[in-house]
Amino acid sequence: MLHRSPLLIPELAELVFVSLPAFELLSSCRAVCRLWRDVIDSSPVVEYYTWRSSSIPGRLRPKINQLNFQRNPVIPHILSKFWQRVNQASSEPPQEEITGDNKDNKKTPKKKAPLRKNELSPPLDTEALIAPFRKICESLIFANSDPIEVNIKLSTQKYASKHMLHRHYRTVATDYGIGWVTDLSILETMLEEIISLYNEKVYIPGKKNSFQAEIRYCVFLFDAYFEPKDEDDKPMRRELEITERFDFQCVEPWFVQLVERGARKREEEI
Amino acid sequence: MSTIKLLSSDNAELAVDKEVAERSILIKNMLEDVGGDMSDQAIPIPNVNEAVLRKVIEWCEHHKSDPPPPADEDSDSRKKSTDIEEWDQKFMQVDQEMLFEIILAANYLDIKPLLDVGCKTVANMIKGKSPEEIRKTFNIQNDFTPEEEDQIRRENEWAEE
Repeated sequence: MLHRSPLLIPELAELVFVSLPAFELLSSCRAVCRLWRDVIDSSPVVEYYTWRSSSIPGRLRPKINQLNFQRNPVIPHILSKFWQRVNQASSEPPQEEITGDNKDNKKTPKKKAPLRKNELSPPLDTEALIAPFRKICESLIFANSDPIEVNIKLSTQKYASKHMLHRHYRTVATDYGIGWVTDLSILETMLEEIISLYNEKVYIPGKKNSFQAEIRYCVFLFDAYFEPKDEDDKPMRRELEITERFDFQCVEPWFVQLVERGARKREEEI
Repeated sequence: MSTIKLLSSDNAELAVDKEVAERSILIKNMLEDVGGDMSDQAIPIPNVNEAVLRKVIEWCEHHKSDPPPPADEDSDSRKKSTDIEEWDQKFMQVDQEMLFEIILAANYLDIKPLLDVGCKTVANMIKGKSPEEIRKTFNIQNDFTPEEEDQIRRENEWAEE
């Protein structure tokens, strides 16, 4: 007798899915079968767990405080994947090189592609590189408490043998005063900026070079330690500025990691 | 302590402490409905065979004095971990068919914490696997049409190596 699989019963599959990382659900799990894809795409519960919505309809929205606040954990995956793409695209051997009988022609360069610096390679096609990331950026929320603004500073440093040749800054930000930041379009803008930094030869891959992104955002959070003094005493939300610094590895393996995270109250500035 | 009897789908009668059996909300509600006195009559559990029912009772036995899970609506449940306590991990070291049967039984008998442990165990088996590896592990048919497969591939492009 074939055993019944709970993984093919939507309600039970859903229960399994909520214990999986959002990144895996949105990529590999969605590609397993129709039923899985449909549950992942349409279940409000899975939508919530995969950072595509900020609450589950019919359930109490959790009060977000300094302890349970989370920035969308898929963001570093997106950055890493994108960074890999940019650097791989730039180290691919030019298409026109014909791999034919080059025995006779000893001058034909052997494959040494990874060492190529982008000074030699053609500019990257922004649209082609960004396109695969648009849908995911537009469908995800930034954090479990929407920020009021997001500011991203990209900085790149290029070194010669011993001294720094130049340092460069570029900033992208959400418009101030337009309301809550509810999606990742700011991330898309940042990805575009990374490509232009590459195409302008400001960012150059290399062991001694560095590339960092400082993502700063303001959120309003409840106080986890709030204790009401009397019946009318309600918890207030406070503005908190969070800064996260991501380091982009400038040599293979191209990965992105969070290197620093800080938060400070912004009361005094208001 | 009062004992009740459960009747599995394959007609095995199992005697269980009432307190243990009441880890199952289904049984608990059933007992409440009949006024608690089921000492002479076995409760039929038509969806669960003896082997699985024994396993489920073993879990209930070990967890009979667990406090009810906190109903913390306030905490963000997205932080839920996939940690499984050691005893449960060992308990879940069974073949896939048994694991699936336990999950189905926990779902039917309404034993939420056991259902959670089962689902987390399955989730841990999925983690880090490619779609093809997942299909192989759980014997799931790839039922996408070529067009759908193509679309998924395009949508997943961002996540590829």
